[in-house]
Amino acid sequence: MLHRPWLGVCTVLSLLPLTPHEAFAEEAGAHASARMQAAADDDSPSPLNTVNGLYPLWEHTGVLHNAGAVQLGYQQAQVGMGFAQLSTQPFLDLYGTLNLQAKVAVLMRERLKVAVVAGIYRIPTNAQSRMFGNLNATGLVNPYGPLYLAPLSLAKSVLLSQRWALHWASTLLVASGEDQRYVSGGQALLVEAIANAHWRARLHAGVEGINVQGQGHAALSFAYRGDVVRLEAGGGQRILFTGERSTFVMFDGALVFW
Amino acid sequence: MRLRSAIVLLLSYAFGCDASYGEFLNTVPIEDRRANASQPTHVFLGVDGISRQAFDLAREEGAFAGWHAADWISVFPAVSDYAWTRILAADPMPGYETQYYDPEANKLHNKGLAGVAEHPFSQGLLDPLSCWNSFDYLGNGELWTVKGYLDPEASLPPTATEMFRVLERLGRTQPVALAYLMNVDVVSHSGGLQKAVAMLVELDHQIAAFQKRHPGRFTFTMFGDHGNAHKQAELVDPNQLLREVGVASVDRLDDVTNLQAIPIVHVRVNFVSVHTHADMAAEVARRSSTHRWVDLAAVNLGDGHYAVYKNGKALTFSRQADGAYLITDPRAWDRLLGSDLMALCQASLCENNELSMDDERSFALTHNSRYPDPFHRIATAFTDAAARNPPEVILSMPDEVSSFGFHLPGGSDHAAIDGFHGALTRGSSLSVMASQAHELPEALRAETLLTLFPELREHLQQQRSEAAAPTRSPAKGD
Repeated sequence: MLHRPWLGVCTVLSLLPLTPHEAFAEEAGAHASARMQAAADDDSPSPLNTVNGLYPLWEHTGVLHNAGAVQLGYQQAQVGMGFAQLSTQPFLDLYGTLNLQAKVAVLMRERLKVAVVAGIYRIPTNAQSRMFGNLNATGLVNPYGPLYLAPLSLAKSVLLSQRWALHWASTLLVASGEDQRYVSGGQALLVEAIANAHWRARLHAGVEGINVQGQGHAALSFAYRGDVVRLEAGGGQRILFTGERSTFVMFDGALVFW
Repeated sequence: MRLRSAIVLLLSYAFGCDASYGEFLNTVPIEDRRANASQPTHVFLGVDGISRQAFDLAREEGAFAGWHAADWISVFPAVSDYAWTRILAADPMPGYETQYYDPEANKLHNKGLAGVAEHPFSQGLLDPLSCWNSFDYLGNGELWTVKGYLDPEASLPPTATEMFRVLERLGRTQPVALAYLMNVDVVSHSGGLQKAVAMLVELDHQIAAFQKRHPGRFTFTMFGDHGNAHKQAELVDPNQLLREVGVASVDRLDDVTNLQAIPIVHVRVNFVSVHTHADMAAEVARRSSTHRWVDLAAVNLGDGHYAVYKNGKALTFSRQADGAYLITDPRAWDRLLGSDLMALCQASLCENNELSMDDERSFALTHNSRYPDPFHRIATAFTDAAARNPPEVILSMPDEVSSFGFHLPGGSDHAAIDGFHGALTRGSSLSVMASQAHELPEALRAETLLTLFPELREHLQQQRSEAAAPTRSPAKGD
């Protein structure tokens, strides 16, 4: 499956930062539980509650929606089942890229959450022509058939403190189509600075497309979490390993019902 | 279906147009299927408004060293939408510009500022014209035209950077790519010749840097759609022009007893399309040609006959069924063009003061004239299928005069007056083709692009057939 050993090495390495947290999880968990209990007494939710990444395809978190929660938004439509959740990305469906993702909890501690995220995307033939205009060229040309993407991610989320959270997704991407057939990999980091219950500033960074077309990204975003309304927006730079670069924007808006 | 499309459209635009979809596709890696290709990817770069003059000055500063170059003679009228439509053999337009007259409905469409505001939409934002859809890379995002017009110099780096990123991705699967840059045209209008030259020098640096990052992977051919007179111009009102020569300027053609005409006054160009009754066309052209704001007035006399009026006097020619031209009074044409058609008469090709010559010879004898390649350009302006509703008369203005086109609230008549195009004059007409890949003759007609480069023609044909029928191969289809 892995064409190059370092793809696997990267995946393993991505877990290392979590090891101390895991090792001290019990102790840390006890402290955290106390704090969380206090927080619960204050009726304030855990700050480790960002369910979705914002950078497409590669960024994920280990956090799941509570059982019965439903998110309806531009980037995500999701239903939580407690140990798992199902999603589709409506804006992609709108362009004919049918997609489905499933996230399954592997570890659910107060300060450490790990989940596996599997997805399937069917990018239609001649995907670029699905756009309404011609001002967002991507260079992806698939005239002879649809392209299927199957990303598999191990997503880890750590509450570093009450003000800081780290999410790390290690992804293997399998692509299959008439025009493209490959296995690729990537690592995506999302660091959250938690200002208060409603506002967060986030740093996004990562490398993706390893083994096929490597590129890195770095971005900044801000997120608002209301009781029901969720808004996120940001922008950044993408740099191909060959030197080409571009700016990009990210945004999402959603309603979440518990 | 329309309702569904409208709902999809509204939802999509409400949430940020194509940007999110594009961002998703941009995160999908592309396998390099051309790593061992024998030929580099040939990038055809359409640079709007690149004039031969600016290109030559850029070369004097060391840019484009080693590139082959040819005079690239635009169509007439030399205006972007129409020129790209003909150069790229794209689907026809209603007229030469966004504003046009429909003779069947006797109606002027897209008048005034509303018509001007239509430009960003038809130029890539939403349901673009076929010519703009032909480009693999057109612009960088929904605000591309706005940023490009507000500050063409500041917007060049991001749009060029994005272009090279897209080209790098395209070059992994495609042997041919077609890209577009608008900024040189805008800066020629609003900043003048030297800024256009500086922009070309910068473009050359960026192309060289890109090729250095990808040695042997890309070769470039660059060409424009029209030239630029690069002279500050007086902005004038074609309605006033017509009135001053005794022609009523109207929005509908109703009165068949008095001279009346509909001028297309849309954007700032140095030509004016004039629609009138067929039997009034010659007189409207004759009178208009006497006005100081008009250099030449070309008129379609019907049945393959054309006239060009200058100062009220007509010179005529006709185009035969086989494409040959019959030039009446070649000596007078020589005086107008600065050409030497009479040399052919001395070679016994004249009869009764009429010179007959084929299209190839016509081009060879006139491409260097004051009005390059006039016979072909005038005849095809009225007959080429690229414009479904051509006018009866086209007024070609001097380089120092331009139609005001529109007034912006707050006044803008002193901005963006540094150079125009559209007319038959040499400056307006002369662009450049420059290629790293191919040796070129001295001069070429712009609409021969797809004949010169069959690989680009095949690329566009494939692109258009896919757009028309996404399931080109049922077995492999979507």
